[in-house]
Amino acid sequence: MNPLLDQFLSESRDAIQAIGEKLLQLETAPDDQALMGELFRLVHTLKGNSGLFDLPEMIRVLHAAEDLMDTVRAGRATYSQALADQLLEAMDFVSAVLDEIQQAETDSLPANAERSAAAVDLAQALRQFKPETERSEAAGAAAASAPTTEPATEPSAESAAPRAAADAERMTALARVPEAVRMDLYQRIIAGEQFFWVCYEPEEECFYKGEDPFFQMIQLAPPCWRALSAREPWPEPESLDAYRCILRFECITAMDEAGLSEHFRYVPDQVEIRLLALDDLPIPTGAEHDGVPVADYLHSATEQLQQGDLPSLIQSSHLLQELAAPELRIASAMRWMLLLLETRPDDRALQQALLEHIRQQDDPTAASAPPTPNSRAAAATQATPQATSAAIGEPLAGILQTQAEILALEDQPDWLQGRLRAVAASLQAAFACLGEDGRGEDAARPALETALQQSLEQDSPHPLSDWLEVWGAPYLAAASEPTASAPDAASAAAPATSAAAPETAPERTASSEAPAEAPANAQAAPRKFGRRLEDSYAAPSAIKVDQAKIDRMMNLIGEMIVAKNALPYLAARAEKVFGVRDLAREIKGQYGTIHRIADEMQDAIMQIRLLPVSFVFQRFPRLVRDTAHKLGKEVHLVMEGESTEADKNVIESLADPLVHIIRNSLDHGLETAEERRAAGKPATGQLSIRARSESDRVVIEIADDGRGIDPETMRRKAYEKGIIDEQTLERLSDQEAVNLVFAAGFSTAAAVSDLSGRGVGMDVVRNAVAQVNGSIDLKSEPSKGTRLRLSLPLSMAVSNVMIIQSAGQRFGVSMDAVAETVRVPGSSIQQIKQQKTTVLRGRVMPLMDLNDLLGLDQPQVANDDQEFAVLVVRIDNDYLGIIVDDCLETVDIILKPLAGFLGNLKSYAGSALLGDGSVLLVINPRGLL
Amino acid sequence: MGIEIHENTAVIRDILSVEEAEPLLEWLLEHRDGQLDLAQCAHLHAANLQVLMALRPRIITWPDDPALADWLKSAFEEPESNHV
Amino acid sequence: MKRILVIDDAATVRLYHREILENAGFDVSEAINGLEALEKIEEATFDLYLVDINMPKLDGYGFLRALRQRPIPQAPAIMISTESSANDRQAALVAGANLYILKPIKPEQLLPHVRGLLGEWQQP
Repeated sequence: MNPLLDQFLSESRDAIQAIGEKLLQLETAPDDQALMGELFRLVHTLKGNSGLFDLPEMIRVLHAAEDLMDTVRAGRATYSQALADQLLEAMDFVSAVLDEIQQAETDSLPANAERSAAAVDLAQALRQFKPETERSEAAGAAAASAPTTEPATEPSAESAAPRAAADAERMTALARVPEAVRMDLYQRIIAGEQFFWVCYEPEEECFYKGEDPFFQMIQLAPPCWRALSAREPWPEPESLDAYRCILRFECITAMDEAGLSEHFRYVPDQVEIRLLALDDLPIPTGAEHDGVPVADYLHSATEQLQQGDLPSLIQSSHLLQELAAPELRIASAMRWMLLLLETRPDDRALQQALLEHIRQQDDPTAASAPPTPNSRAAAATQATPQATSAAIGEPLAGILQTQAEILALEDQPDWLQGRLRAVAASLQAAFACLGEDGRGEDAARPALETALQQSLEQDSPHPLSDWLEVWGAPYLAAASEPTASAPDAASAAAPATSAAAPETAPERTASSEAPAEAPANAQAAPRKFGRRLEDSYAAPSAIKVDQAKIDRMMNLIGEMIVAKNALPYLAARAEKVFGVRDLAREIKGQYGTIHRIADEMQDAIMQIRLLPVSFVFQRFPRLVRDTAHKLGKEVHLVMEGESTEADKNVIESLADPLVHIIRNSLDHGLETAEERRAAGKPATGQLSIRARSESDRVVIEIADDGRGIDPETMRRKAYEKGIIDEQTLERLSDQEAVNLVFAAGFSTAAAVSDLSGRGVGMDVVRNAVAQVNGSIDLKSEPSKGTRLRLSLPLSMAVSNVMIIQSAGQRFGVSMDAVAETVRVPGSSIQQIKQQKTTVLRGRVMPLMDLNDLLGLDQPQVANDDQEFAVLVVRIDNDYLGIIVDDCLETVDIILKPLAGFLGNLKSYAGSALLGDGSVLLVINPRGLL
Repeated sequence: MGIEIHENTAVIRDILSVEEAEPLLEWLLEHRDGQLDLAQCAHLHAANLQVLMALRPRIITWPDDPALADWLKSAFEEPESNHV
Repeated sequence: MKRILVIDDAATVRLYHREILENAGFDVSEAINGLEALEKIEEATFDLYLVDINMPKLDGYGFLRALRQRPIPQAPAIMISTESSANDRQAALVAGANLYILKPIKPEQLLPHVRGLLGEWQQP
């Protein structure tokens, strides 16, 4: 974490603690002015500090708190128990935000509706303690000051922005389209085609919702033009947050509007789709013209156009085009003019508009931010590079202006002499900066010396102010507007740049249930963000440990288990090689003890790695609400068993599959309110997500009461797509038909159109679950609903594997995959076509040689009785026999995924170290096929 | 799936998922002269795209998939290049 | 190297300013309140002061008034405040500040003013 943020966190925590103490002290001495002043200062400092960071909610609350303390300090409101409680609650909120920052290690927290709602409520509650006459003013001030740090890209700002600005923006966007492309579009629009300009600005937290905006865009038919950019300047690479989306996608496409709306139906608020008009396109672009008789042309062209003398206009346009180098903007304008005259000779308005373009000489790409008189001051205080360069002279003008103000003061304080000297020093510095251009400091400087001396002798600012009037006149004139001095401009600009934010505040208040009772209410039902400070004190036993440290410990324990496994080998050697039986027995005894301790250690570390599923579940309410809203459906979400725990890796691997399943349910499973009513169901659909642990597995069920999956439709679709043949079609049971959603190729095809181009099918979900040794099963009843059951191991660190032998090598196979091991006499193996099979308990089972699967050029070896060792593995719900040379013992191992180049080998799940120091490759049966 | 590193070249194959944006960013931060071979890349999640756009590493081969390649090239295009 | 004294009771703000100013090539000293600042100016000469208003023991106004009465070379002072009212600004100028800037201050806002008051600002 950067030191500044570190410092901020620790100072803020100290301040919060001190505020708590002061509030308690005030309870016994409510009239202690010093204490009150101290309290105000603490809150003030805290607010000042947070202003350095991007923390709008925290500032909102602290501003309200500071404001309230100021009122109390000034005696305009009385201190009370309830007021103290409210302040404490505000501090709890600030604490919670600090915790979030600490965890995220960044000051730019992703937007969070709950957090900002809590902030609005808290600020509101704090204001309730102010005398009524001051409230509205305070609310205004809070609204004006809080949003200064809010991101300018707030969506609500867009609707408020004037239409003209949006148009200008689109012009800018279109000017970036190469001229040739625009001309082509122009011709095609004339020919009757339609094109849409699409601008997609995915919301910042979209990656957390499982969205891939890039995929969304690529899924569109190849556009005529496309651009990829960032909505804000790219941060320094070191401070880039890969998961805060600031991308902007733009394209021009021939797709129709209905198709586009359908394609972006999950994110309608983030996409702008506009029909391209003919007059959007003729924008002259290129380098500034110079030395080309443009003025003459404009003059004659305007006349010719008015008189309808098109042949002359064409001729003069040709002439100018020949004069101008092709890369000049005027040449581009002439190409357009000629095209317009050729294709639309009668469209006077179009030609007129183009002439106007030339007259204004505005290349929209160059002038993307047209300066207006009002925006100048604001621009000077903005952080963007253009703004800084626009501030040329600002700081100096500000300094001179301020010194003039100081010199105009009419008081006669004891420190007047010092003040005059400081003004002279400031003026001298400012003129030193100005020295190089025009009014040299050579002449000004001695005069300043003289003026200062005179001022000091007369104890009067007048000689200095006279000097400033003479020498500073040209600069002061530039800054003569009353508030034009830079510091004031900063404050004046703040409310203007963030006009959108106040709107959001009242809106939210209106929707919260009882804003008027907020102070009392807020306490009765503490919100999640209002975690009480006492709570965090009550749990000092929790410590934060870096993930890497835990991983290291787990690795060490893993090695310990492996080392432990060496003891039985040692015992065997003691007995067989050295013939000391007693020693062997003692080693075995010791082994038993170490084994027990190692087991417990392993269990302990697993406990540490456990996370509640709420870690993943917590984002679902928002996801469900947003998605349902976008789809226009009413959905009630039920979640149970959020405290069920499982290993961190397992929990993390769950996130994406669950998001996908939920989306699927909302999109395909649940019907709209009308459809549901028609089917005699309650209008609001129900989606439930339940987690529970079952022995050593965690089970998650996602159920909806939607339309379910119709096996008949599945059969038909699968057949149409060629996933199953006619024979299978007839044989398939209803359950098997429903399970076809998991078939590779089935869901992708259906999903690309249905799932708004997300292109992730249920087969991907199944694979993701299988990767952590989980399984998934699906039950569905048409018109009743669908239920998906995920079963996952609690932990994945230690696996129980069976060691097998084949082609003289040893391999491991996870016991999770092994259904049983059998010995099959060679005579019982039949060859059906190319496939070896055998009959096991009345069922035909395919057999495969492990050596073949691994590409080892050796036949499998049978034992002395001509029996082959067969490993029966379960892949999904089918059984497959893998012929190996021999099955040996089972061992516990720490499975390590294969690294680097080997990581691509799908046949292996990983490797493990054995007790005798050798490396065991663990086979992944699914990957073999 | 995944990033394969050969000296200062990262070879991207198949699909670069959202989880891989952070490792990619880290690798690029550690290897400022790192370059990318995207020939076999079928898709990369927008988070990865964002990392590439912010760090602008050298792309030695563009994806074989024309749709992906066209989009990526537009991201790396200099804004000046569209003047005729 | 020009020397700047940053006077603020908030350690975060001091560190923030120190980082900005040191990166811009200035020599930075800190004081945690007006009283400590008065001690510092006994020990060393500064070319510029950045002064917070609200501080325990001796606030920014008090510090400036005392500073302007000292028989030492008078360097410019920037008062940094959260209050945008004209009265507060006036009070700061009366006390002896040469500029009044509102918090929070971005580096690109602070540096031109600092350089301007140190005679080191150049037209970009």
